[in-house]
Order: sequence, then structure tokens, then C-alpha cells
Amino acid sequence: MSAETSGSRAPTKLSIEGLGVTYLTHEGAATEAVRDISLEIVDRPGAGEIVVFLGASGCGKSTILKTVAGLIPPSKGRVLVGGKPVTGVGRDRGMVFQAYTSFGWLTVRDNVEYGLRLQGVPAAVRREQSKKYLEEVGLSEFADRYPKDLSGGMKQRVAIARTLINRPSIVLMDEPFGALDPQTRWGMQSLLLDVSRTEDNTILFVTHDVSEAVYLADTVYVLSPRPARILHRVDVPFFATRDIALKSAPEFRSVEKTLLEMLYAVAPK
Amino acid sequence: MSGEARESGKKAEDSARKTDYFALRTPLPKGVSFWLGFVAPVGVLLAWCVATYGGLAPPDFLPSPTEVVRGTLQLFMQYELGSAILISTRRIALAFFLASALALPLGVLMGSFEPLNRIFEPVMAPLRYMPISAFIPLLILWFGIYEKQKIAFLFLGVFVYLLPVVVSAIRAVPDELIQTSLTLGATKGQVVRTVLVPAALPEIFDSFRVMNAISWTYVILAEAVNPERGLGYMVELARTHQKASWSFAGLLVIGGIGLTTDFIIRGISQTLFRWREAA
Repeated sequence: MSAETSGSRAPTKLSIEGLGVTYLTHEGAATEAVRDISLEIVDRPGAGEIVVFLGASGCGKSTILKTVAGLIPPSKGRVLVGGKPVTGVGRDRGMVFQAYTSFGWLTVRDNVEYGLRLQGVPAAVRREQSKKYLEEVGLSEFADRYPKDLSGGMKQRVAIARTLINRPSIVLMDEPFGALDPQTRWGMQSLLLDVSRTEDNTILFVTHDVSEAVYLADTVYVLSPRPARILHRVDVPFFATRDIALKSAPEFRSVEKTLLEMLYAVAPK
Repeated sequence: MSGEARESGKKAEDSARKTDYFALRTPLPKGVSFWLGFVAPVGVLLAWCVATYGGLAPPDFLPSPTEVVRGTLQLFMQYELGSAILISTRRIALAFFLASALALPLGVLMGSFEPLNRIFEPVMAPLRYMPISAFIPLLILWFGIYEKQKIAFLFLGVFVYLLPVVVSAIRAVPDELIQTSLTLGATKGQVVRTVLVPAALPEIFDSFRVMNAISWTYVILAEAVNPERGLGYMVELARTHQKASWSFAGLLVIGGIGLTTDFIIRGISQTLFRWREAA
């Protein structure tokens, strides 16, 4: 339906229409996690982009991701991917979690090839693909190791490569670097920027870290405390010129300040 | 302070730090740990020797180590203790195999799908609290007094224990692993096969150690019915002949078998689950 009305515009990659999610807790009480979220992400062919949801911990931003993934059904409104309503999980929407989700019983290579193996892709093709993605995340040397031998940052690289190999149109990242130390986190952020330039997919990235949001995002949605609503949409200007030095540049700092003030305005006093 | 003095001061400091063997939950140095393991066994052996060779306990009340060794040899030579061990081992292995063949698939399904759990759990929960030996008369009625009854009893003992272990191991697998697998394109069946089962397997296998211990206890109970062959028969023999040395021999042999099989199971587990994170 949206495809018809959009006419000559670029096709809508993701649209969220009036999304609301209300949970039932174990005691049977209703908790509203997400309220009336509407947004539209237009496909920019040939370039990946990163959309960040920025909000306080526990504000319900993860719930938005899980609804897009199809892991949680919306209570109100709907989610459309490529014009089609989401009715369940699908490999066109990969997800990376904060918790390390490496499959411990599989080697790094087998972890990365997991999604292809599910589809019955022949071993030779799998091998070729995993080689490419292991290289992309810098884990080629560790292909035959088990996750127990890897650091936290490396485990998240495994998770990223394992998601990308499926060539999802949307990658959902739920505070993926939240458990990493700052140095590792910067490295992972740069890696993610590199990856988003080579892969043509939209990354929806959830974080409560303002600096991370500014560094990674093309667009930031600032969310209210629970239930999550969109307070502001901020377009971050410096696409394609990002490196670590940018983090101390005045124009970077000024965007950071704007976002901090937006968050501070709604923080519980 | 001279270099030498500093050196010796450092040494004293080091050894002062090392000597707190009773620091909370702190592993011991290898050598100390090794020798401490001998304290209790040697102590028991010494007390036993003193009590028997010293004439403190009458021989038919507490046989001496020499008597027990002689009793063990007698059982091996004259009463075929060796084949008794083989027979009991075979019974346990068969019961183990049958119980696993049923409990593993059923437990995996119950742990994965809540409706199945709700259906079976009300039958399984009370079963766990019933004394397993009270089933013997029933099993005799149903299976007679020969091989089938013994296998059925051991099967029941292992099954009742194994099933809840499988269910809880499946449930302990983190949600994120399931969600990851689903978003990578797995069907429900694929999640069960490629995530839930491999993630739960180490814990299930660990429980085999406990079940091994339980089995060697139950096998004596099972074989006490119409004792003809097996270790239970040996224990029964000691009772009818009123020979304490044979009782002791039986206990030592069963203890030894338990330790050996436990060692084997642990070895297999360490080889199979090399990938496991250090706890």
C-alpha cells in the first residue's frame, strides 16, 4: 500500500506506524513499554546507513527492535519492512544482542556459517562466504577457535559477521557494545562504520551512550523514558568523514551537547 | 638494607602470603592438595588396623584388612565375583540406555514446549517423591523375578532422575541464543536441534555422574530379589554366610567400580565438551 502511494520516491525500507507495545507482567499487570512510535526509513541504494535509538536504560528501546525483528508482536499499530507487514521473525532482519550469543559448541567459522547452513547452502559456498566476512571483522586467524578462547569484543565480531553473512536488509543491534571496555568499544564502532560502508543494509542501533550515538548515526531518534516515545529526530551531518579524531572536534561536541540536553530535559529529577 | 636482606625479606613476605591455606574458597598449591587427600584414607586405615590387629574388635564384628583381602580373593576365585561384576554392569548399561532413549527426547520436548510440560509434569512430579524401592513388589508382579524386573527397576530409578535434569537443562539455555537463532532464519525445529540440545548437553552429561552413583546403589536392591547372579547376589551371600569380611569385600569392590566409572564418565565429558567455558 505504501509502495503504491510513494510513487517515484525511493522505496520505503522500514516504516513503523503508530507502534505501541504493552506487556503483561508475571503478576498479570499491564506495563506499557512503547507508545505511539511512527517513523519511516527510506532506502538509500548502494549505501548503508545507521539509525540510532537513543534513550535511558530500560526505556523500551529494545522492545522497538524486537518488534521489528518479529520477536514481539505489536499491541497497536504495525511494522512494515519493504512495504510488507512484519508477522514474525525472518532472516531479512538479523539481530545482535548485548549478551554474547556465540554458539559455544561451534568454532568461529561454524558460528559465522550458521545461517547459511540452516538454508542448506553447500559447504564450498559457505566456506567462501565465511572467509569474506571473517576477514571483514578481522577474525580470519581465529576461524578454527572456539568462542571460549575469544575476548568479549571478538565475540561481538563473531555475532556481527554471523548476522551479515545472511545479507539482511535490516540489522538490529541492541546495545551490542554495552558490555565492552571503552578502548574495545571505539574499535568496534569504527569496525561497524567500515562495515556499513561496504554492506548495503540499514542498521538500527540502540544505545544509551550519547557519544556512541553521534559517532555512529546518520539519524538519531531521541526517546523518552518508559513508555518510549519519539521526542526528537536529529540528523547527524558528518556522514563518511568519521574517524576517532572527530570525537574531539567542536562540531561533534555540539551535536553531543544538543542530544544530552534533550535527554536531560526528560530525565527523572 | 642490603640486597640479600631485601631478598630474604621478600621471601618471608611471599611465604607469609602463601601460608594462608584457609583463605576463603582459594585453591591449594598442588603438592599440598595431593598429600591432604591421603589424610582421611590413611587415618581410617590406621584406625582399622589398630582396632583389628590390636584385638580391640572381635573378628566377626570387624574383620581385619588381611581377612577382607582374603574374602575378596575367595569371592573372585570360588564365587565368580568377576562375572558378577560384568552381569551387574551389563544390567546398568542396558537400563541406562533405555532410560536415556526415553528421557532425552521427552525431556527436550517438555523443556522446549510448555504445553507438553504441563501435560507430563503432573505425573512426573509425584513420581520423584515416591521411594523407588517401594516399586519392587509391583515390578515383581508385572515383570516376574528374573532379568526383566531388574532392568525395569533400574530403568525407573534412572528415568525418574534424568527427565527433570533434561527439562531444566533445556530451560536454562539463555533466551538470546534462541532469539539469535530465530533471527538467523531457524525454524522452531532447527532451534531445538542446533541450539537447545547442544547447549544443554554438557549439563545433561554431567548428571550421568550422579546417575552412575545412583545406579550402583539400585543394582544391589534390584538384585536382592531372587539373587542368582550379580553383585547383589554377592552381598546376599555374605549375609547368609554371616561373613563380615565378604560384606566388606563387596563394599570395596562396588566403591572401586563406582570411582572407576565416574572417572571414565568425567574423561568422556571433558573430551566431548572441550569447547565449554571455564566455570
